[in-house]
Amino acid sequence: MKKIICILMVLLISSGAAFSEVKGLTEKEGELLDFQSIKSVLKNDGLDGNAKKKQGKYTKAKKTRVVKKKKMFDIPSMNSYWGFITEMWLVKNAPLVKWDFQKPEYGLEKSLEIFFERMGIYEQSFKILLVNTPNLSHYALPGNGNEIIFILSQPFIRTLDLSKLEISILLYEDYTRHILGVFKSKVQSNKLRKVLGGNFEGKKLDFSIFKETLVKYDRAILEKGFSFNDQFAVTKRVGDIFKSDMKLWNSYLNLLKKIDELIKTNLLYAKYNDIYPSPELQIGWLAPKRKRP
Amino acid sequence: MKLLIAIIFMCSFFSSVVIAKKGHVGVMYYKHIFGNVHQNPSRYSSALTTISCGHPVKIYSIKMGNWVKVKVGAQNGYLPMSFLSTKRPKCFQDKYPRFFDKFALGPTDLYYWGRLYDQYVIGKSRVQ
Repeated sequence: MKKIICILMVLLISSGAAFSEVKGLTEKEGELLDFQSIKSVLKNDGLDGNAKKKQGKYTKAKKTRVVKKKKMFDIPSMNSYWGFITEMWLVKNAPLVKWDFQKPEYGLEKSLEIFFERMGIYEQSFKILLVNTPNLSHYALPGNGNEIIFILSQPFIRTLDLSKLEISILLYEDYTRHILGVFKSKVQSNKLRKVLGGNFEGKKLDFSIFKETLVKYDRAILEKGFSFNDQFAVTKRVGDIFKSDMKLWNSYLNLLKKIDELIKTNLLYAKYNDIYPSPELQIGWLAPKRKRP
Repeated sequence: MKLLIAIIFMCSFFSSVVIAKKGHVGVMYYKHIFGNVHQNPSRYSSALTTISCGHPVKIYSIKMGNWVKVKVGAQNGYLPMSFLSTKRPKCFQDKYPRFFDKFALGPTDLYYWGRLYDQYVIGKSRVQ
């Protein structure tokens, strides 16, 4: 009996081994399948197309990521730079320019809007910042796009007792100066022009160019101001525009006379001539010349 | 029974009014470079916090002229309605982040930048 069991066991084991050997062979056969023969089937399945689509999506996403990363290093263009740097100057010079103080609502924005429309200037955005110092009487600084940031000294307009029309004329003169690009020509360098609107990814940005702009702002607004040539061009232009409306022209002339008198009599405004040379000459340029007999 | 229904109706009505007063009515975004949230609806009232462009603020239904009550973080304050936008604005600091970072602005600068927008008198001449 024992012998029979042993023989059966041997037979069972040997048949199992033979079966496993057969399975191994089929697996090997499977590994050696010729995929070329089923390529057409795979094509019909659209797997190739899907793989291409996925690859395309991946490349697109990678490109977008690279562009996005590069964009982070963009330098503002002219349009966005001026408003930013003007406000930066105002923020950095807040204690000096003294714009952070409580003031009444003068309604200057309404009167200037009306004045601009009267002069045919439409869709002109502006901001007016009243300052509480006699050191900076009035100024127009560039903003974003076509926007202008006007600085106006409250002590200056109070001392001169200016009407809303006179204030608008004063700001219009500043506007003309801005349109002629006089201020920008003083604070803009070739280096800055080249760098604006560019990108500094992987490059070292010479930041001194921008700091230099702020220094130039200081110089132009508080120290050097404008030249006689600048003033002549501005006065002539404003005078020519106002000539068609004698009321405006007279108001402009009277305003210049008021300022001239103020700077000659009030020491607080003695520096005015350094910035805007000079109301006395401006009156001379405006007034019609008498013909000699 | 009718009285009971009336009482329940009145209670639910008043509670909904209270909820509406307490809750915010929407979210808007601050659109200038920096700004201060004020304690009262006045540009000269003290600043509770400074927010930057694109900051979402919860709007309450309470309006006082151009001012609207807002919730920024844990603070309840006021902002001028004209400084808010319904859509997220394109901000300078988001468009030029690395350039902006180079200026290394401190908290005082941010506060003053916010103050600047409180002090501006803003205008625009009409379209022809």
